Amino acid sequence: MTLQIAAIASSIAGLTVSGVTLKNTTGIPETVDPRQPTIFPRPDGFVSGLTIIRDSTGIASQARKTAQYNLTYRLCYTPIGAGRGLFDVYGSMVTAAFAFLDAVIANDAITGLVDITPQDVTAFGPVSDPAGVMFHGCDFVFMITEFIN
Amino acid sequence: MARPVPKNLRVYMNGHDMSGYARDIGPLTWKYQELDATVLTDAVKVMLTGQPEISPGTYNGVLDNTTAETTHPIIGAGNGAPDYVMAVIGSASTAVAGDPVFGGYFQQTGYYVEGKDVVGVTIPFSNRGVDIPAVYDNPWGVLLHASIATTAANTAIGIDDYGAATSLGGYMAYQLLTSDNNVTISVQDAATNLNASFADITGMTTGAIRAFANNRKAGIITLARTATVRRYLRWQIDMGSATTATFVLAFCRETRY
Repeated sequence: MTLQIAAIASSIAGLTVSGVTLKNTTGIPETVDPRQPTIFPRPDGFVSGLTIIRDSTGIASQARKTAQYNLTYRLCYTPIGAGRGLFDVYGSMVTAAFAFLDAVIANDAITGLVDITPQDVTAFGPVSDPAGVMFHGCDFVFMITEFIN
Repeated sequence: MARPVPKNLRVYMNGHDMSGYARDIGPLTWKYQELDATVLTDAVKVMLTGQPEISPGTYNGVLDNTTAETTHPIIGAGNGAPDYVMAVIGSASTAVAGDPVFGGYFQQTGYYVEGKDVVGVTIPFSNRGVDIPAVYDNPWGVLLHASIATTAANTAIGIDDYGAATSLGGYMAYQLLTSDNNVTISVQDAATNLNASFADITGMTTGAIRAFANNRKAGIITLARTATVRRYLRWQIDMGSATTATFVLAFCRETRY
């Protein structure tokens, strides 16, 4: 049995969050559309914290194991300075961030994993898209648990 | 192989879904009494198997008294009386037909409330309550219908829980969580896993029942120990005048003489 990262990332990208576009690992934007809040796998540091623990005896291909790792997603909401005031859209960004957390916390349809647990919300404030443009946004860190075999 | 995880465990008591309050339940015990039959000429200890102790162990949950049907009113009020308890060992976020189910009618012997990180309740269970006959000594069956709202009779195929028909009886365990009118829940079997082949197992029916607020329904209905149960099993419901019903149904097929 293989690790299910592709199915997990695809399933997260399939969630519905009002006003926000979710991207898969195959759709990371090189430049985020300033008119469309976007959540995407953070390309520099998407996967981290991998641990694999053996749960049973047996050869490698048959032994039961538990894999845990972190996935980091980035929300780029609105370019900084796009409004009349510096923090015009900050409240809306916070609302969108928590709507994404709600979608992950409450969703039973994320496939490929045993459990997904929000671990942290970091870089809450100015974040850059892959092209280096600064946005109001944040990073989400989710701990993924998978069973192997 | 699907490995169960605690978050997919579901616990039902007397027609109430207690899963959202449950922190854990167990150990789900099925332990046979050992009778010492050793004689002087035996080289080692020799044991006979006596009657089993069957119990769901201890239910640990979160205290909630904010509505009429939460842990305190439901479980606290039932202290000292037997409860119909069902634990579904789900392998996914939604339990599916074929998942193992531990069920029975057990004496609730206590109700403890303690506040640490959260205010929790602890409910120890003993063995079988005396109000219904203890015909079978096997608490394990399979899920036929998970806790899903149902609006019509079943026309789907069933499950193959054993690979063959048996003639050793069995029993059904049900928990009717909600219904807007009387419904009749039953277990059907078939020799061929086709919709048209299924028929009611004689006696495996709840009769007309309805879940009212503060009066949900649960029960166990047994077959004779020689009753034939064909290979494939499925749930069935006669909606009657009801438009929706949410229920959990399990069947234990006896396979031992």
